[in-house]
Amino acid sequence: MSGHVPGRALPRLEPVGRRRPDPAALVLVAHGGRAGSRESGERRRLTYWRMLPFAKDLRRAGPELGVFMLRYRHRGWNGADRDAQRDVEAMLAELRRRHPGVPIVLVGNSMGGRAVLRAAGADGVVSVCALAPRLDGSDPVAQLAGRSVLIAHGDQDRWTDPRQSLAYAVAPRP
Amino acid sequence: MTDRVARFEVLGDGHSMLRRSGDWASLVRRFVLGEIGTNPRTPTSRTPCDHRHPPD
Repeated sequence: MSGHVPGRALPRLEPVGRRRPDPAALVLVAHGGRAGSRESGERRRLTYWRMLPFAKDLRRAGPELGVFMLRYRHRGWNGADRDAQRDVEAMLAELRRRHPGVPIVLVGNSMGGRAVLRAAGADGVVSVCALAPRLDGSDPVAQLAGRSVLIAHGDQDRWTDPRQSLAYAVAPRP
Repeated sequence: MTDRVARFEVLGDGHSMLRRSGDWASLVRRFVLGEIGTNPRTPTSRTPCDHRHPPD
């Protein structure tokens, strides 16, 4: 992303566990957020803490992995601005710059699930996992070509709609 | 667009993914490690399908 300064600037990558100089694969974990909010993504909210255990578990199970939490610019998706998606795309570019040619797996929850599904067409992405993605029926599927996709949804979810996940999961099939 | 899609419905849990946190974590772990080749791909992620994930 033009103008991105590593360190405290947002968006940024937050490494989970000891950083590996030569990871065999990279995992970017994107947490949830609100439909609309320009609040800073700096504060670690419940949606962040909900996904951190997944990131730590992956780091423990795959010491050869480089695992990163995504820190958003904003708390919300924000309609046509698609801020979360743009942040995922920016940090994918940053990962490719740091580790050219290393395969990338995306994991996202809720707003982050939508963001990773929509950003899955980026170079280097091989797979995407969306947990309770917040989909609305307008989300494209063409970018999933050639990627492995896992979508999981709790059947008692009241915040996002499992039926949208099902429709989305079925849509990409040839 | 892709034939490598698996969709799970985790029975008995909601948006927080807390009641069955271990199952959610296991699902993600097996998928990610299978995709990068550390572990074999699970049968469910080798085949396009729609699954329900009852409590273990």
